[in-house]
Amino acid sequence: MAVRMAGFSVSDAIRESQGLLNKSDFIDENGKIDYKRLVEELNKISRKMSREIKLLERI
Amino acid sequence: MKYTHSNPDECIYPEIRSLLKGGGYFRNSEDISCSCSNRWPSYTPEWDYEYREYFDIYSEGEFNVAKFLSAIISLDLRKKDDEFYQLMQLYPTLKKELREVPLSHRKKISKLIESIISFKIPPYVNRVLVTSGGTFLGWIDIRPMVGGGISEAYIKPPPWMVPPQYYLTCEREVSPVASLRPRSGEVEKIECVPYVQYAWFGEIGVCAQYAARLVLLTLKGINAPTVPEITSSAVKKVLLGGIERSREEGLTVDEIANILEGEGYNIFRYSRTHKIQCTNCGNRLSIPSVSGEPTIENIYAYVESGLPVLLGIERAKLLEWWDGKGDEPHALVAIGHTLSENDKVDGLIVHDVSKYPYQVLTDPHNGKPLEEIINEAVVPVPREVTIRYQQAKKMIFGLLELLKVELEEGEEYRPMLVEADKIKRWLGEGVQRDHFEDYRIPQEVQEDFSRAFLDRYVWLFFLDRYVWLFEIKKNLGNGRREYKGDILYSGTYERILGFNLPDLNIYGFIDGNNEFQTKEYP
Repeated sequence: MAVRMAGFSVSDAIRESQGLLNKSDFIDENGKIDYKRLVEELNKISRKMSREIKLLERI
Repeated sequence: MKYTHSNPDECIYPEIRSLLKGGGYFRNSEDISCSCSNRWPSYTPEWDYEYREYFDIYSEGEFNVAKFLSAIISLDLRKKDDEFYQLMQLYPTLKKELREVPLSHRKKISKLIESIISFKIPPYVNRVLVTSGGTFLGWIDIRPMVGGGISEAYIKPPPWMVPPQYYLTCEREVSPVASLRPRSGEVEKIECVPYVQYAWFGEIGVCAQYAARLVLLTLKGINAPTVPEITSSAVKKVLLGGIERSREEGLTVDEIANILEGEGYNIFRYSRTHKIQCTNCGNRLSIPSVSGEPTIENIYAYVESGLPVLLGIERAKLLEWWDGKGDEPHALVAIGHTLSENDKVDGLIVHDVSKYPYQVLTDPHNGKPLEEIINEAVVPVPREVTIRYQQAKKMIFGLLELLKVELEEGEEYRPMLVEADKIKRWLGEGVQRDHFEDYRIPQEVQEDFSRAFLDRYVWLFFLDRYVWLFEIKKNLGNGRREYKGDILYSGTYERILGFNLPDLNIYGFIDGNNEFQTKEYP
């Protein structure tokens, strides 16, 4: 069981990704997170990111 | 013939002695006894192609350059009936120069050339089986001429290169290529990362195409193209300047990437700077990298997934094992990583095709942070993988930022590109992950993940064959860790495939209707 394994800090990675989305945009009137919309929005951002990488790589 | 020696300096093969010493095999004094036995002749595609490309022309073929040269030099310019006499009229400068050297001297030179022609280089390699400290290390192929050096080596890592400090994630089980119908027990198999060493007679640079061959040999095994094939294909397809290209120039990163792409891989490039050329003035401008930098974490994510990464080093002299000659850019291949006592990735294990296998690129290295030494990283990934590690990471932690109410100190993640089937077994079937102390997936969660993967497999034709897996864990010390969850990102399309976060009482997945569903933990 005593196997070592690499690990990177979750808090550091979260700090790097801060500001990607606004939390209040995904909370409904009951205070619940709308996961479906949240995931859809992230996927949309990711598609935009892919397009940007592809365009810049062509330079 | 088997030779055994208690001191490596007694070894009759200077190339092997140097390789094993440089590779750190004799670091501990008790390991220094070794024995070699030669299997001659042995066939390898690499030497076969090198031989045909560079040596065959001197001994075989209708047009023999050396024989022709010998005949021209010994030509008696007074004999007008000589078959070469008319030819010489076409080359007055050559004729004048030949006339200035006495015929007797020219005949001696001609004889010398003929004796060189009679010296045949065989089309087979010397295969030497090496045993050290009582352990069979593997086999080393030596080119069959003086100064030919090592062609390929299939040897286990040095005995001290073991977990918990060293991890050779690109290791494969390999066997010699010569066997037509191998039966179990008849062919030696060895766990190693294949190693190739450059040859001085190669064309156009040295390290880049050998490093490309090494990467392909690790990924494709015996189907990998040889260096002459890589070079010839590069000259025809991707090399700027083609056949006129200076030998010293070496392959650029773009050219290496194109070669690997031509072998059926998708290529991700990480560079410290990106250079573009102005179409008006021709000046090259450096702009910051757009597709990510070659940080240790970015390289680790691929190496941990079993994918070798080709590294571009700006100055070879910064490498600890470099012997002081030359300070040009250099190519290495990352094949594993090291871990510090607190489980941080503090170095990469690399093969250096110009020097030695299994070198450790510690961070810092020679007083410099590793990220300042590595200028470029070229990663060949399966064709279906189009999502880079850092893109998946940004989305996953964008999601976690919103989900996490409060962070627990000391939570860590381990990123890896894995086949979807593995995820199905871990989350859908609850197959144990031995590296977690308390890994347990409730039956209901298993059924949902199992159905999600089954639906996708059946209806969506393996759309997400590869998945970026982020394992979230908490270190408990002494090599023990607690399972905190998983987040899955597609390796092909821009989408979160699912997550399992028991602490937050929630899990999510894409169902058979391609809709993202979340459920509360049972």
